[in-house]
Amino acid sequence: MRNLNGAGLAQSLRAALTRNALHAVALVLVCLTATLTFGTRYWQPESLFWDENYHVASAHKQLAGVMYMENHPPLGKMLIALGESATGANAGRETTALLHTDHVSQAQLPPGYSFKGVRLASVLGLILSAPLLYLLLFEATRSRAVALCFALLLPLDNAWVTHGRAAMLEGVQLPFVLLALWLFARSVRSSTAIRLHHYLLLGASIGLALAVKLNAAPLLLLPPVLLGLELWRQRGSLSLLHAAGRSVSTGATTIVGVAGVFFGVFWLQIALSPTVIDGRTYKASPEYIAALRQGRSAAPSTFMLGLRDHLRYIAEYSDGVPRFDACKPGENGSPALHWPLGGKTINYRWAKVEVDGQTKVDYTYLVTNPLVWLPVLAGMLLSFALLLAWAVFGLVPTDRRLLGWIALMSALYLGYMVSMLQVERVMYLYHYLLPLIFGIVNLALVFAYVFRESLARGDWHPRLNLAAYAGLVLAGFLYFAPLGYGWPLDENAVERRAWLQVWKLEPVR
Amino acid sequence: MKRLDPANTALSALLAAAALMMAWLMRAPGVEARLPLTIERNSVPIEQLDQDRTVFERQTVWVDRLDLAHAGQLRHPVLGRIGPAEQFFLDLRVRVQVPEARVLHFEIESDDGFALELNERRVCAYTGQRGLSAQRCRALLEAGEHALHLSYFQAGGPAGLRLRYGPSEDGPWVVLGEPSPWLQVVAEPR
Repeated sequence: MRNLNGAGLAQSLRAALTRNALHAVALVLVCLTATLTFGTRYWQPESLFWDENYHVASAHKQLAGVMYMENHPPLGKMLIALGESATGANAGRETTALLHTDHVSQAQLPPGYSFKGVRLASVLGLILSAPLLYLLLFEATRSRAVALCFALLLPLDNAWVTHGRAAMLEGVQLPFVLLALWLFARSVRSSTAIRLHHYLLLGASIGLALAVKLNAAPLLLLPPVLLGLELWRQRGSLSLLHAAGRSVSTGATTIVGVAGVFFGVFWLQIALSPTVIDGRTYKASPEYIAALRQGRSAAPSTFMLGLRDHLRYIAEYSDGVPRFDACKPGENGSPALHWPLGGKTINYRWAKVEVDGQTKVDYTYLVTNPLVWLPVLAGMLLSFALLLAWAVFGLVPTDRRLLGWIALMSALYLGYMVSMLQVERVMYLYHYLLPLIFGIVNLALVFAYVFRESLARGDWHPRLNLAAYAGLVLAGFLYFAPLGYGWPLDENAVERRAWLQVWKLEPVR
Repeated sequence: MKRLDPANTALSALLAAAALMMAWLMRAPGVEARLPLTIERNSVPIEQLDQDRTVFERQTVWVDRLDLAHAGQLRHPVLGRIGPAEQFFLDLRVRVQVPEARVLHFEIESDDGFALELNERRVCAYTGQRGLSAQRCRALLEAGEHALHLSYFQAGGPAGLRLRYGPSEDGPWVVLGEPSPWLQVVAEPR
């Protein structure tokens, strides 16, 4: 009997080691892919493009302790500044001119200005996001193969790679979004009781995502869902009074987490930016300016004044942004309904180069990997159909847990897109990068739902399909990569890549 | 033998179809190399075809047929745009085989100017700048091989070039490079 137990223990240990080894291999593969696609020579091109003109100026103000206001909360710029400070990439270079403008031009940058520092936060954020996405997908689907395949979609999506290798906010925000989703997934594991600290951590991670960009607001759906799930599990022994009490305590804990981090970031930014440059006071009130000039930037009263003024600036900024104008020549904006198909691409930057006596163009072009975006759209449509069949036509779900996850991801996706449709100012394709992540998670869930039986049996066929899909995604990524990495292309090569009209992908002529 | 799972098989078929479609979309376009076009970029603005050339870049592009007037550009239906956008000369020098002596009619559409020479004799030309226009001419050709030289230039703005020929003014017209009973391009090594 003792021998049998020993053998059983050894077998269990071996199985556990194999499981952990497979996890480690998957994580290494995902990290390696992300490091290669996001990290390779991320400081190229050595010139500003798109919103870098704003964020680089703000980051340098942050480093110099100069008060500034922006249309997004400050955490993104603070982390961009942290990257610049950590690398010391431009130590000794004259960057004072950046403190006197909100939109820095290439000519205002000192000669030899390096982008290694200011782009580091976004690149590291995305390299970190890839394993986080894997862990989230594993928590949700309980399949390593599914998690690995769909986690690779992030580092192999051309839009994420092009946009993420820049001093912009989406790459900085994504790890916080994925952290919130992963914490949620860990909290809802059936084997663990949901405690107040789960709400606190979830709230804090949502607060971090919101402190980079407010478009993470759909994540605020997660705490109520967590509460609903907790109460549902206790439905047999639950009194109304207990449910009300639990709602209050978890609500308060979540608010402490979200607000503590969100306002804490604002407090830190206000405290660390005490210098006011004459003529660059934005919409700051005289009281706020006076408090800063008196050296009271870290005082609670200054924080209250500063917070009010910063939030007002954010609210008023959007009102001043023009609306989408389809008739405007060179309009880069696009209606939200075009985004799932990849429209409209944006030519962030280009430069003509001579290659073997032929004029070509190197691009930094925001284009999608259609092998990621179109299946994500198909996955969303399939999940809506599945939910409709369940809710309206009485389909009996074969896996309630997976269907619940699909419902959550569909709600996050739909919530984001519906709110985007209400926005009157011009919006751009990269505003879809966040719901694309919800869509990738959803696609993995739909796959796990449809093929749950053969996956559970350990069949080769779904795994082969996953490998084939990952191969197609890689091929798509490599085909469109020249447009993002600035590998010279001639006009015909760009035209051949314009697969869909809605992309409006055009070569420089 | 174990039966294949229908859902997995359907997905495999879908992935295979996607792979085929991708391969088709990603393929490098190619046509039969029959006509060598020598493209020379000029360092000064081109006013007319016969001016002195100051070439700073030269390349050769092979096409199957001389049908290069599409969408206001010097553009091949399959290969896409040919040459740079402006300020260049283009020359086509080929030998053509005429099976039996006959008068052949030529129609050249060009934007900007062109000149067609047969056996080093200019038979048709418009040497200045213009929008896309057609011009016709004819030549009596003995049976056997003849030297055909078409020169063309693009100054700026829209561009295009197409050469067609036929046995009479009323057609039928055949684009140079396509097989016909009246004239054939003699293949030369690439």
